Amino acid sequence: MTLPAYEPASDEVELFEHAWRNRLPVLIKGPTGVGKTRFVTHMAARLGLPLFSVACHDDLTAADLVGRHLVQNGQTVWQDGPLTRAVREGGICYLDEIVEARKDVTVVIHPLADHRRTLPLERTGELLAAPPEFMLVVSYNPGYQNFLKGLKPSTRQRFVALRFGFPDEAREIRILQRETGCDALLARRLVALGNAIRRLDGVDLEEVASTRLLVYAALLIRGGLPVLAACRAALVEALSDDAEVTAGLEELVRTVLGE
Amino acid sequence: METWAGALWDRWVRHLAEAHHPQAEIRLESLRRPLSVFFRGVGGEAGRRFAVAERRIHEGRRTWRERLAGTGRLTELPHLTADELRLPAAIAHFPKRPLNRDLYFWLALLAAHFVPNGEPWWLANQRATAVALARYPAWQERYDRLVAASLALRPLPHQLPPVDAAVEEAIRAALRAPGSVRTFPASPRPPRPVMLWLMPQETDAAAARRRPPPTAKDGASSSAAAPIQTEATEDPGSQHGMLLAFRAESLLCWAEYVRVDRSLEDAEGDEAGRAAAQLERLALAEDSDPVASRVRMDLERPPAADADERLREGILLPEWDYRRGQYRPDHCRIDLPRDEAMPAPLPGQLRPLTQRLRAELERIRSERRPQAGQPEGDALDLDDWVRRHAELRSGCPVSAQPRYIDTPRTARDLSCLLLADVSLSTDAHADDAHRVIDVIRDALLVFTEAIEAAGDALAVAAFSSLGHAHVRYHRLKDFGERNGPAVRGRILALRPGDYTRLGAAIRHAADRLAATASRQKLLLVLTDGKPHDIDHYDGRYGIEDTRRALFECRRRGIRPFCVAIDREAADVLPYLFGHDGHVVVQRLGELAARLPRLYAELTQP
Repeated sequence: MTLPAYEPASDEVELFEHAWRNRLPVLIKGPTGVGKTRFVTHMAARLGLPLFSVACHDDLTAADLVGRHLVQNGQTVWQDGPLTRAVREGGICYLDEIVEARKDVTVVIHPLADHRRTLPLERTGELLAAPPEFMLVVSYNPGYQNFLKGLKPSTRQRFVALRFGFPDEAREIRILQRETGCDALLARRLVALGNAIRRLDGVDLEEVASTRLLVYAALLIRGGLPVLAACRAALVEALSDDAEVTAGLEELVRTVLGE
Repeated sequence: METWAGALWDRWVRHLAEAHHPQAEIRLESLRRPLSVFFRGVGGEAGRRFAVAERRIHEGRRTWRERLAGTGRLTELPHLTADELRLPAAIAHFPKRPLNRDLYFWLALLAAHFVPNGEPWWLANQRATAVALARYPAWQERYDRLVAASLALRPLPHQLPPVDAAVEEAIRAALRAPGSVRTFPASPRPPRPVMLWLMPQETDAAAARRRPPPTAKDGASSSAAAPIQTEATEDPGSQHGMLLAFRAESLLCWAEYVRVDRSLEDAEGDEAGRAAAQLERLALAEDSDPVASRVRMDLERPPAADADERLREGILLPEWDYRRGQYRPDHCRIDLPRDEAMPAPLPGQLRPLTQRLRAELERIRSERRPQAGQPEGDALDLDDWVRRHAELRSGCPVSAQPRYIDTPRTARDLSCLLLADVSLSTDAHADDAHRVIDVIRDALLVFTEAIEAAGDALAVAAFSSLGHAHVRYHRLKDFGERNGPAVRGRILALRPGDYTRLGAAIRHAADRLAATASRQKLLLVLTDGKPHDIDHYDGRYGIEDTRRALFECRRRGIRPFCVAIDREAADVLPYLFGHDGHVVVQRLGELAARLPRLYAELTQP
């Protein structure tokens, strides 16, 4: 099995391995599209562990994670949820955008995220003890935290935390080239554009250009779309709905990438 | 007939003389936001504002055509001040719109790379140009187009006297190959302004002029670095050309000048005398306007005399000094005037609107959200029932009670403080019939009535200031106080005050808001412009202090939101309040109706 490509920023790979060896849960925070999910996929492959990924949303309940009884052929069958499967089989359970999930989810993950490492299944009366291979990883984006949503300190304090930022220039150029096969010049200019847009963070834009968006732009350009059209679709219009802001962004695109 | 012929002549002669293409004109107003986004993106300072450059007279050589037409003397020269980038209000030099537009973006790009390090203006501009083009090579083509177009508008060196020709050659070379011109020929008169360059900081030259014995450095900056005389005198005789035609902009007159630039009034009578001699008519009038005289008096307070004075008593607040990167402790004092006003009923013309808004906001109050898994309620919780049924058959212990879906009234737990700016600028007219302050008063009245219907805790306050020791915070309605005739009377008695010390007012309002027990706290700031006060509380300093105060708010769990009633402020608001933390009300008449609806949107669960 080939390892999903991941370009480390600093020591996050070692940190993750240490956390896994010491059976500590990991919290990854950072803006969208900087490689949080890719990192977890890479680490699961690297450690040879199965990955159970759950994208959290505001209707996700504890039962969706733990499991529920189903009726099949007149019989009731217990169906494990992804979290329970990860605990039973040993592997990484990755809860993406944990703050989006309902409040009762935190109740389920608390006993798993501290020294107890247990998952009580209220409905089947089981108390599952997590094997050493089990690891809980959660991620969230501190950028667009809602006025009402946030990670409770009691939850946050159970995790080893890693912060992911936008990759530095050289690393992002390497990522773009590897992901899209584009030439060095295009990669360098796209990264320069990304960094120009990132200067607008919090002032003119709610979210700035992620590496993922730069990859999209590079793919469109490599596919034969004109540079300006590709950047307009992948970056400018993706980042803002305000016509005046997009006019400014388009000027930035022309400035960095030319006509 | 005479006028018509005159206008025709004027148009013809102007067309001949000046690069002015009204059909291709680009106005700064239409580009303000895109330009500021662009400027920040290419690395410009985030706190810098965009402003319109004032018209200045330049002594540079004009072409015979311009002398004939009486144009080319007054120009709006782009330049940087300590915290603003000043650009012409409109650019119409070139016949094609994209080129005029490009010039705006070029000036923003240049300004982002301009380092005012005391170099002469022609060196600093070359350096900034070279750096900008090296960093953004894709601009080269557009830059070349701009250079070609602007050179076509400059006089040809061989048509000029030798002294001017050398200067013109140097400028042409510097534009074509930025960085190549290392020496600049001396000339008795400044060259024609270079439209692709930023002119030196006006303040340097003005400061040099004000101080009679110039130091060596100042002398250099006033002679070498200031090719453009900054006195904005108007010369009606030369402005008219051969025939008089009406043009509103040629009416900029001496009297208007006295009111804006005070540096000249302090100067010896020489220049004033010369300017007065050029006037066709000189009228003297006693200025009895108390507003204007007050402003003058304030401006004449010595700067920084009491800047570091630490206040002793009263409600004291710190202020953020961005230059030092630290707070000035106890720097501002809050006055809490409670001028008891005559209780008043709601003005009749506001009643229909108020009733409509009350009905809308009642809905927020009674909004209900279904909650599953309740011991009692309106509907059976089917999810729960299916699960129970399954568990029962699988032999699990199940409690007998079925669960229901209930839609209880969710209690809102929200406090809002509305803070209105009533500085002197609100004395301006919003339209023919109303002043800004009238619009604000109406909006406050309607808002108080409407929010009462929503049932949220509300306080209303207004502020103005006169220096750091006098920040007046008018409590119009406190939390817990019932809305009624007394509150309305206080709102109706509001009068425009002096200045806008936004940071101190926000800090005090935040203190009051933080004292409430609500879970959600909203601070609505209603302002018509930018932070400004007499004792150096303006420009960057005021903006950074306000930004800091807002940052403190967010850290205390208070959400600030700005409702701006001035488009001018639009470029600094994102920096202060964030892109989703403000709204600019375009038509002031709509403010009263807009504010409560905005509140409803902001506080929607």
